[in-house]
Amino acid sequence: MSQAREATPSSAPGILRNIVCVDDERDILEVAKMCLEVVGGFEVTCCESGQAALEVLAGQVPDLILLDVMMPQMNGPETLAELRKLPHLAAVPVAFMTARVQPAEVRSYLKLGATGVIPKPFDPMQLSGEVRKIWEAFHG
Amino acid sequence: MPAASQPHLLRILLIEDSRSEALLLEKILVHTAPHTYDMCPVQTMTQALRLLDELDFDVVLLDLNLPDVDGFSGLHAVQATAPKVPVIIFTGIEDRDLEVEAMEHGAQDYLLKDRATPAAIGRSMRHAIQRKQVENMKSEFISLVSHELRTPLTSIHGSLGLINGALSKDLPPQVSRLIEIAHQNSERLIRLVGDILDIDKIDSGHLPLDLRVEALEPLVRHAVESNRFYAAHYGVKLRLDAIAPDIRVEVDASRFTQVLANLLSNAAKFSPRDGEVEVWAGIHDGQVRVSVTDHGVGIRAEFHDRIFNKFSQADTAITRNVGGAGLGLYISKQMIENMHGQIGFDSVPGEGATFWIELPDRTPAAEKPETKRKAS
Repeated sequence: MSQAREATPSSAPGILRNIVCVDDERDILEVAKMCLEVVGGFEVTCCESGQAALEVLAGQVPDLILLDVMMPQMNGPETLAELRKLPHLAAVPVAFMTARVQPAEVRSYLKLGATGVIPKPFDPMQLSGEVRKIWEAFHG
Repeated sequence: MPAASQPHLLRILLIEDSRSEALLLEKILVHTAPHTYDMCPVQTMTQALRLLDELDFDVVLLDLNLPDVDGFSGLHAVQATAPKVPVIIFTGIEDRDLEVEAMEHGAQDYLLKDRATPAAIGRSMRHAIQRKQVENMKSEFISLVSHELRTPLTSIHGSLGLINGALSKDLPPQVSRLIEIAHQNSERLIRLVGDILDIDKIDSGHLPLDLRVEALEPLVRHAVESNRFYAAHYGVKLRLDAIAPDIRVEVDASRFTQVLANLLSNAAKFSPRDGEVEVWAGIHDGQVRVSVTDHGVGIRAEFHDRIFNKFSQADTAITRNVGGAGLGLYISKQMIENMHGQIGFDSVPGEGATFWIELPDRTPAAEKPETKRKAS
């Protein structure tokens, strides 16, 4: 499993390379990681819970975070709220990746501060492009 | 749920603009059964929605004749605000068509004011509550099942799609063909799960739409581009005629694209191999029209009346075996009508079919293209 880069203060957004992906479904994590690495050429760190993501992200600054919504214990929105308390992640876009994409649900994610929403099931060949679009929108 | 020991008051929200009618009903109900009902009368939809947002009600009695909403839009607003609460249309209008329409829009009952004896109102409310409970259970079940289906589908479709799209070149031809078949069928299953969720929302009367004024050209182009690959699978080409860039429509962009995708995939499926599907969009008789024309077998006359019904597919007498549950056109019709448009078709059996959508023209008056009129 690759690691997100060390916490370094960077002035420019630079390029999209390191992605942290959070999902309680191990199979989805593995497939998403492979799609993002094979098609997008990104480096992906996987976390199986919101708690695990907070531990991994405590000392690291990835370029983007992908969050599942429905997870046991700490769900996606709760995880996002915790991430937003960490100053070193203020310039990192967070996108939800979820099967719950009713217009009202999507609005609520964006209101919570998510940069974008990727519906599940995602298209494996388009996923990297969608992630890149979200990243560009954040830095645009 | 009513508490076992405490008698449960039935909490009624009465939305009725006539104060005297409201008082009369309150009097009738409270007199005949003093500790049964807790009625909260309001005179406008604005007040009603505020209360529905703040408080719990067991049932809503809705007059169709309100000062601040037209027709069924009040019913839709109630359903959107409180999707689990049953609504009884409470009206002075005796009209069978209106009654049927109210039920189609998801009302649980239709009660005429001058026939509303205390017993009739009580029965209607009890039945409406029961009916809504069953509907709610069905919706929750469908929502749960579809979510549970989508989780494994995400892994299956992701795996197959990645192999098919990026990793299949070193595989033996038979393996890569089998992966392709499995991948296409996982896509079909995903569409089916989506359709079933949509049907449930349509049937319960609250398909949430995000209506905005949008440029037509990019929406149609996007739908055509996204379906080229699918059409190519049937050996069919999609041809898009130039669209005037200033035309605007008021639609839910993702639902509108879904409807177009539906028409395009149908046209591809029913086209002969190496056939062409033509897509035209422009102004026609003052309406914005998008049409999708194929040169397939066409639609037999006896199927014309049922084509937009649920689970309708022309039977297997068609020479080619065509997949699909027959939900697409039904969903498309409901969506387009909810966008204040119309959907229809013209077909000569043996020569193909043209499916069209018409929507109100939202092009700013100053930009209306005077020259771009379609002749036919």
